[in-house]
Amino acid sequence: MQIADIFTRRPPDVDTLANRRDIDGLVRALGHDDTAVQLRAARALGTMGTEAVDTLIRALDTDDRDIRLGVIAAMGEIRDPSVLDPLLPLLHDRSNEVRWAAALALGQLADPRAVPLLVRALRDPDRYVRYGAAIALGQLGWVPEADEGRACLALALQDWDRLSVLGKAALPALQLASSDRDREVRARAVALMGEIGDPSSAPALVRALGDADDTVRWNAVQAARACGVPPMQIPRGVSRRPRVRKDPRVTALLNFLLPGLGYFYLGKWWGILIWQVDITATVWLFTITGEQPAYAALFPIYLFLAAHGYYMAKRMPDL
Amino acid sequence: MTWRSFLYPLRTVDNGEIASLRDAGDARGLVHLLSHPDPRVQDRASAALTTLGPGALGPLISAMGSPQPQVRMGAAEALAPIRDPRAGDTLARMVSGDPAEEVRWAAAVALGEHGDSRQIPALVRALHDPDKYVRSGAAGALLRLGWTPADGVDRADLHIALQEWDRVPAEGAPAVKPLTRVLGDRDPGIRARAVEALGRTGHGDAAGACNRALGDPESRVRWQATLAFPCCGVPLVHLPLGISRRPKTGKHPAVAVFLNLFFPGLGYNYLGAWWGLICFQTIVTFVVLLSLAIGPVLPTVLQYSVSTLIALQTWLAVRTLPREDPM
Repeated sequence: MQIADIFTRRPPDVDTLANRRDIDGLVRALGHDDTAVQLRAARALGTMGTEAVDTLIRALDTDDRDIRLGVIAAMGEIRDPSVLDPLLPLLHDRSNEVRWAAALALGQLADPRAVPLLVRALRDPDRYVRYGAAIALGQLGWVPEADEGRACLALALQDWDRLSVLGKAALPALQLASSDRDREVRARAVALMGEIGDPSSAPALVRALGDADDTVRWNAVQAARACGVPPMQIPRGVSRRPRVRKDPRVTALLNFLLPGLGYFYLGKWWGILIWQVDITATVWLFTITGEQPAYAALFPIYLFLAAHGYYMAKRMPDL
Repeated sequence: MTWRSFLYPLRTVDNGEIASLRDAGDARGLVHLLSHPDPRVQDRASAALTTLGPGALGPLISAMGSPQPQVRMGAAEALAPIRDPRAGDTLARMVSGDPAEEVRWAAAVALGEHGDSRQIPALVRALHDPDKYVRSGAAGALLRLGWTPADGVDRADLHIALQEWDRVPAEGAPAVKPLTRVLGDRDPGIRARAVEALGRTGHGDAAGACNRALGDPESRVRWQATLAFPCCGVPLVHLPLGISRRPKTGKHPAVAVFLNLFFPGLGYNYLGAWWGLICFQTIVTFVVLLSLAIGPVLPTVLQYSVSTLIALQTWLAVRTLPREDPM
């Protein structure tokens, strides 16, 4: 038993709640810490039919994300047309999980009025939401009419082969994907822009040269060449990436003034240990030997730690 | 936003100012703008410098001594079109000796643009640079200068720099040394591809690199080595011994117990719990305050009573953890 278990609520008996058709109780069970309880409660709510719809719609008005996700899942199972209106605004929710769940639920609802918003959700910044929207559109029988729609759908499904076949028509979707939150998506999008080799991709590729992720930058270097970005612009673009290397001067200063914390700044947990040993040793030396001899003994050590920290940070790779 | 751009947010430079510096042939003024916090100003200053021709050579060579990498990079760009041997010599020195990877890379690319075939040896040396971007820039520049590799080793170096991994094993034995060299690359992806290529050479000389690859800190490199080196004649039974030399990432229970006994809380931090630091600092503060109030004896006894309990709890908790390090 873990300490956290002491504070955990006793799990509700979902089966009994379902047998009693206690819809409010089941909604409360959606907020339980145990995911298995949440899932059972959502499934039970999904079997309650239209009788549960009003309670579920009211339950959406909560800050508890787990309850909202469970309610959306239940709404998708019940498939009552009256939940369409409450579900549609959730495609713009702040939580990406809620947007994703709402997209999937709209697919299960099979109401064609959801299509325009789901098509817009194909451009959501989150890949899970895009994927959910694509699946939902598939369930609604939506077929894109133009290449732009085809490219967005292929991107949402992460069908890179399809995007490659679309060629230049895929570029707007790929440019969107090149600034995706997921580095894998950015890397694939940038590489594909390189394969297509169209000069119109140059601005997006120059931006990708400064990406925080090394794979994306490397792919952007290859792609930028293929898309006609002047070779001399490429190193400059990469030089604008976010710096990951810690500043050697800060490391040295910290190790000199607060010995050990320079190492801690570099991500070494044992830096705090050195710092505490230094504090103890300093207090002890001051008490035993007085101020001047203590400084004389500790100063060279601080200098050594500062120099060591400086070179340690300097040796860390930055590309 | 860099600290420099934070300090000088109001110092704006418009296109007209850069154009007037360019028209006046003021290379020093333009070089100065290469360190401007706004990247667009850097770009425009660099572009203006490239139009100044040999007149800018002196200030550009001086700019190579700047402590700021973006100034040296801008100067390298501006030196590329200047058809003067001194420009090529300066760029060649940067390719070999600049401490910043991106400056070495920019200098390599600039040498390709510069077009002086006398600098080919410097670019060939840059194929051995520890940085993949520099190697790639040097390879591109060499191809631009029409360089043809003299032997299999040079060809392997070129393929590695261009990351044409499928073409490296075809070089056979000469590829072994270049591939072994990149086993020290910072990028685990490159190390993994190099190990795979070593296996595909099937050459007995590659076996020498086996232990190094098996002891790699990255799991995928070790796995590639496990697959590759038997193809080079390394007996299968030697692989576990080689892999046992990998850096161990598992936590030792005794270290956690020791830390929690003498630095209560830091043992948890060592095991990956961030709140261990807070525990430690709270206990230290409490002991110091109590020592000031009632003297050191009772607080010390209290601290070691608590830390003994914590150490015991740690021992009971960690002894059930798996002791195997992932391979």
